[in-house]
Amino acid sequence: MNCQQFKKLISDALDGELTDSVRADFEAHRTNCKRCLKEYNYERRIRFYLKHFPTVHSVSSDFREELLRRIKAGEIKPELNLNVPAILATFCAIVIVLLGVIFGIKAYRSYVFQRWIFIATYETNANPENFQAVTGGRKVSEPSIERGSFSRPLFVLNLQELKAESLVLRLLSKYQEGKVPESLVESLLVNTGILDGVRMRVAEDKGGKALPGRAQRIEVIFPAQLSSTLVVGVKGSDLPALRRFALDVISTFGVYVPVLAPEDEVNLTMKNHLNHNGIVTDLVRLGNEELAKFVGDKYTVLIILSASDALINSSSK
Amino acid sequence: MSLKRCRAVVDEGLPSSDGSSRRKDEGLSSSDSNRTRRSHTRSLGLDDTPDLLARCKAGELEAFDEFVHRYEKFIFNIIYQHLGAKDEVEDLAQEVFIRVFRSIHKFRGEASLETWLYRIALNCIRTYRKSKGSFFRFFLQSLRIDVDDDRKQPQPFETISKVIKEIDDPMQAMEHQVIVSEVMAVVRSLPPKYRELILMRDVDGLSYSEIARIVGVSIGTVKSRLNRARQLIRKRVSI
Repeated sequence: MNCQQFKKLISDALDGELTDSVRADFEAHRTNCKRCLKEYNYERRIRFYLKHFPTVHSVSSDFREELLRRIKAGEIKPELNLNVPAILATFCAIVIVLLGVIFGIKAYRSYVFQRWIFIATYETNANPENFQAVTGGRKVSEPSIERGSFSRPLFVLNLQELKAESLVLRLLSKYQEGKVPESLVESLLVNTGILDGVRMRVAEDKGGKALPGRAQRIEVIFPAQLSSTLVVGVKGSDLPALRRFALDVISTFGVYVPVLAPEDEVNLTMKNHLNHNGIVTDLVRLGNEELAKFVGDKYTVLIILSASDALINSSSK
Repeated sequence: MSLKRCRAVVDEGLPSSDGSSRRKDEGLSSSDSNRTRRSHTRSLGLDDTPDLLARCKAGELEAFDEFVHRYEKFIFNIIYQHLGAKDEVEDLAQEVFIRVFRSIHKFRGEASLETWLYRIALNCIRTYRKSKGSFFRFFLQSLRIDVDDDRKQPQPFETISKVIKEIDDPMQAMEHQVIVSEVMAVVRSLPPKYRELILMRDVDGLSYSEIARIVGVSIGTVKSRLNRARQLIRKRVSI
């Protein structure tokens, strides 16, 4: 037995758990190795003093008397119980901190992602009378049109009670909120040339610097009155988004959407630039399931709007 | 000088207190020595204990009084060894016996009564230690209100040093007692999982299987923790 093996066995030896043969080897090594004997004695001394910890010699009879008194009096609930006021206070503190965090995040988001309110105005030198206004949707002015060869059918969005500028502002606003895809804005406003010459600027705030969370007023300056008809090429995948946007516009502005009359179809299809056989599909009244079929190609959408007043002050979030 | 003398006395083997090591040297079996060390706990298992237990389970207060009388020293010892502070022992012992009173009907005799009582006492000690922590102290409150403080006697128990009891020479006994206090301080500074096991094994003399049952770990874990605890004590004690 070497010293390392001996040291490992000291504990078992003091517990008296060695077999006879191992104990013989152990004792032989202990006798011959002074260092190991020292180690053994040290361990034995610790055991000795551990065994000689003070113990309870006697307990007063008062202890039992008190115990029995408590049992007879029914005081046998657990000694420790929840401290309800402390728990409530902690809970309230946590709620307050959470509300503070939520408010802080909201304020920060408002600060970073500032809301915009769009306001439409016209260039001061523009003469609205140079542009033909449409009343009642029967008379169609020169349309803003995206040229190209698109798949059939021809979709019609009949919003003849809605001012064209309101549609533009609403679209910009929804785009800013991320609720309208960029491709749709590109189709409706960029490709049709509606935004040509349109400028935007931050409206002066008389109240001083805008506070976090306060909407920023953006002035959209149109060079002239917009046309009352848009002929737009829209991707099949964007048709549901356009329909959703149209429904939002209808509910927001409360416009009445009449069913297209046969003569409307005739008037519309007589336009040379439409190059159409006369069959039109009402986009609003077509269900989403039907729209889902039109994926992949680009389709023509005819948006009928009313002419604007001289100055529009329509705003939306 | 005194430390050297103490070492010599212990190494030579005290006639009465270090009997186990002597017996080992003389070739006595391990079970004999362990039995001797556990004598104070096992001596409690009197013949009429089953009858007493049955009466306690039936809710007889007289029987429970007898039961408490029989085991109060045992419980006080456990609490005193584990806590170390005399002034907290009585309150905790009350809680242990009240818990025993509430749950004695659940005792089925699968483990020995001492093991069962030890486990209850240890759980109470652990709960008490936790409640002393600042976090729990904030959320827990004591239900017990000592209105009649005048009835409460300070420290209704007495401790005795075995060293002083066993060594005739008062000077030597005092020197040993100083070392015992030093070892006690070291043991109480150990992490709970080591401290509890050392106290159960080396102070209270429980077997590995009893410790494993009380703590709820395997015997192998008990042994490895004890080894670690002894290493820690060796490092911190200079005797």
